[in-house]
Amino acid sequence: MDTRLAERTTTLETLLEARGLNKQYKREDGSPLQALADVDLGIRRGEIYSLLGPNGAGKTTLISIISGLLAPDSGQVVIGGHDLQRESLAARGLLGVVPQELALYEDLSARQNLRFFGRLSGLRGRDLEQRIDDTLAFVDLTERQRERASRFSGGMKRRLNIGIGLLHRPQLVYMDEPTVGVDPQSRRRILDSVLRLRAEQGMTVLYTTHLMEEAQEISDRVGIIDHGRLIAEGRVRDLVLQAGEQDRLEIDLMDGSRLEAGLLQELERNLPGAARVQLERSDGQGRLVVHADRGRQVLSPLITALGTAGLEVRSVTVQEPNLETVFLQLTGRALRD
Amino acid sequence: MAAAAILIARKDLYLRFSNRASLLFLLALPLGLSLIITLVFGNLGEDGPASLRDIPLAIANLDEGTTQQGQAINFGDGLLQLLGGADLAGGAGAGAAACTFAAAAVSGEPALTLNELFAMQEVQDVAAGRNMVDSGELAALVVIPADFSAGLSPQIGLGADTLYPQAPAPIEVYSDGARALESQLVSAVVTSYSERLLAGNIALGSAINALIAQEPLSALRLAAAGEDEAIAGALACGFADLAGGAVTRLQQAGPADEHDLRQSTRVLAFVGMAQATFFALFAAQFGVLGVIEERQAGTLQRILTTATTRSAFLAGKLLGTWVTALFQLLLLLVALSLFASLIEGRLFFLWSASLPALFAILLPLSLAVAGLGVVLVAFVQRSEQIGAIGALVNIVLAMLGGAYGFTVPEPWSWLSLVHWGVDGMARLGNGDTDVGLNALVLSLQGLALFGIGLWFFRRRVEV
Repeated sequence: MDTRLAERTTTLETLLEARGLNKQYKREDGSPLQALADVDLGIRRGEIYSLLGPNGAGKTTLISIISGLLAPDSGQVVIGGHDLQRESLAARGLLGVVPQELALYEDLSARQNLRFFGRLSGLRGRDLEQRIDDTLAFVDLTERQRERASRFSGGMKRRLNIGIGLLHRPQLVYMDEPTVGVDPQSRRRILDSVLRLRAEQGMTVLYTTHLMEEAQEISDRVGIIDHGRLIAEGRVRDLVLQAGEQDRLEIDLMDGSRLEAGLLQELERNLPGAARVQLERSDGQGRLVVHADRGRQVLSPLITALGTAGLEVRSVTVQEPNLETVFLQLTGRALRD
Repeated sequence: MAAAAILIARKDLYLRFSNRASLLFLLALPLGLSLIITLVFGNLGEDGPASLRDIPLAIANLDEGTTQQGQAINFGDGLLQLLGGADLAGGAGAGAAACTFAAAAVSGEPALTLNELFAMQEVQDVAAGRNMVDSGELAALVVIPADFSAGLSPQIGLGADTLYPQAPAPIEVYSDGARALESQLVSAVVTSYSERLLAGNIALGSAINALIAQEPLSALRLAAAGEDEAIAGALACGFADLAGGAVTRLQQAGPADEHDLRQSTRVLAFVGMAQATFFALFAAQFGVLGVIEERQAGTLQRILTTATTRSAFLAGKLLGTWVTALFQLLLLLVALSLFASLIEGRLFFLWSASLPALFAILLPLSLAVAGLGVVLVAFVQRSEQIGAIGALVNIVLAMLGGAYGFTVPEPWSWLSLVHWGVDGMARLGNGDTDVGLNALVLSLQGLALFGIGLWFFRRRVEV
C-alpha cells in the first residue's frame, strides 16, 4: 500500500480514507458516464458520518468501492491502515455492512442467520455464541431468536439486518438507509441504536439516508455528493453557514393592520443582523417575517420594538436553516428527487 | 477459503434439503420423469427381441485352421457362418446327420434367428474394422485369431497326456461402449460358441484318449477309420459341436446371475442411467439459481463484504451443488435398481460390480455437473435466463451423451459429460470396472468448467 497514506491514516485517527477515487461506466449507447470524479473522503474514528446525495449522484458507487464490491478505475481506499485493494481481507474484516435491502436468509432463524454470517467473519465457538446473544439483545430479538426470519415483521427483519452487520463488532459500520419502510417506533429504536453504537462501543458509522432530519440528528459530519463529486463536507452547522442561509423569524401579531410601513423600515435599519423585514397579511391577520444571520439574537430587541410600537405578539417561530435548504442550494434538487 | 466454502455449502444444503419444494424439484420430479422416459424409450412393455435387429457387426477371421484326423477344420469359419445366420446343419457337408444344429426355439416359442439379429459383414483389415466401430458404423468387431482352431483342437492319441498343451487363443470382441446392449449380445454369442466348442472337444477328446489308454489298438482302428470320409467328417463335426443353438432367443428362461439380465432390465439400466445423468444436470441449474437468488436478495453482496473471497463463495456453491447432484444420482440409481428388481423378481443393485468403481464415476460425474453450474453462473445474470439457457445446454449435452435413445458419433459425444458418465455406468452394468478413463475425463471436465466459471465470475459478474 501507499505507506505515506497508511501512516497518515493512523496518525490522524482517520479510520477510513479514500483518495482520488474515479469510476467510469459505459452507458447503453456506449458513451461514458463518470460515476465518481476524484473523490476524497475521510472518516475519523468514533464519528457518525452521513453521506447524502440525490439518486444517481454516485453514492452507491462510492459505497460499493468502500465495501470492496467494486474496484475503482483509479484511487485508493484505506481502512484501518489496510489498503482495500492489496490487503482486501484485512480491510474488509474491519467493516460491517447493513444494506438497505434486507440481506438475510428468510428460511433461517434469527440465530442461524447470525451464526452463519458470524462464522464467515471468522468467529467461532463460545465467542461466537456470546456475541450472538449480545447482538440479539442489542436489536431486541432475543425472544424470537429461534423463529424463521420469514415470520418476522418488517421492523424485526430490519433489526436483524442491522444485527448481522454489527455481530463481529466492526470498527467501521456502513448503514444504508436503515430506517426505510419502518414504523416510527422502530425508526426511533434504530436511531437510538446507532447513537449507542458510537457511545458504548466507540464504533464509527458511515450512514446514508434520504431523511435530512435523521442526518442532522445523529451525524457528527455530513458529506454531500452530486454528479460523482463530493461537493461539501463538514459539520451540519458549518455547512449551513457555508451555504450562507439565514434564520427566518415569523412573528404573528394580534392586529397586523396596525403595523405601519415606517416601522418595517426602522426595524430593518436598527435590528442587529437583520437582513430583510417584511409583512405578510392574510384575512386581516398580520405576520412579520425577519431574515437574520442569528435569529435568536434578533428576537429580544424585535419583541421590545414591537411592544414599544403598541403591537401585541401572538406567537413567535424561529426557523433555522437546515440541511434540506443547504442541499437544495448546493445541488439544485431536493434529496428525495 | 476452505472453511468459508464449506460453510456456504452447508448452508445451501440445509436450505435445500429443508425445503419441500426444492426436494420435489431435485428428487421426486427427476425420479418420476426418469421412469416415464425410460418406459417410453426403453420399450419396457415390449420385453422381447423385436427392438433389436440387424445389429451391425463385422468379423475378421484370421483363423488358419487345423487338421484333425486328417480332416481340415476351421472353427473360425464356423463362427463366421453362425453369426451370419447360416444353417450349419445343412452346410456342414459330410457327417451332417451327426452335427445337428440345435436351432430350435426354447419352450417352443418362436426364435429370433442370428440372421435376423445381426447384420454381419466380413472384413480382412482388423484396423479398418476397429475404425468402423470407433466411428459408430459397427456395434462390434469380432477378431478370430490365427491359431483359434489349433488351440481348440485336443491332442488325441497315444502319449497324449494333456488335451490342450497350450491355452486356446481368445476371440477378441471390440465393441462400442455406447452400444452396451448390442455389444453384450455379440460377446454372449461368441463366448457361448467358444465355450460350447471347447466343452464338446474336451468331452470327446477325453473319451477317445480314455479308450486308447484302455485299448491301445483302438488308436490304429481310429486311424484307419479316419480314412473313411464319413466317419472323419462325423468326428470332426463332433469336435466342432457347433453350439449355435445356445443363442436362439434374446431372452433366456431366467437370469442365472446378476450379469445375465433381461433385455428390459438392461435397457432400463442404460436409458435410466442416461436419464439420471440428464436430470442431474438440473442440479447444476439449481446451483445457478442459488447464486442469482443470493445476488437479488443482497446476501451475495453481504457475504462478499465479509472476509470471504469470490473464489470461496463460488467453491462453496460448487461443493453444495456437487453433493446435491451426487445425492440425486445415487437416489436415482437405487430407484432404478428397485425397478429392475421388480422386473427380475429378485432384489439386487444394478451397478454392484464394484462400489469403488461406482463412486469413481459418480463423484467426478457430479463434480462435472456442478462445474457446469459454475460456468452457467458466469453467463446467466437473471433467473429468467436460466430456464432457456440452462435447458438448452442440458438438452445439447444429453443429446450428445445419448440420453435421448440415440447415439451421436465420436468424437462429438466425447464433448458431453453425459457420454462419459453413461458410458462408465454402462461398463459397470456389464461388470467391467475399467472406468479410469471415464473418471479422469469427468474430473478434468469438472475442474476445467469450475476454472472457466470462476475466471468469468471474478472478472465479469457485477455484484
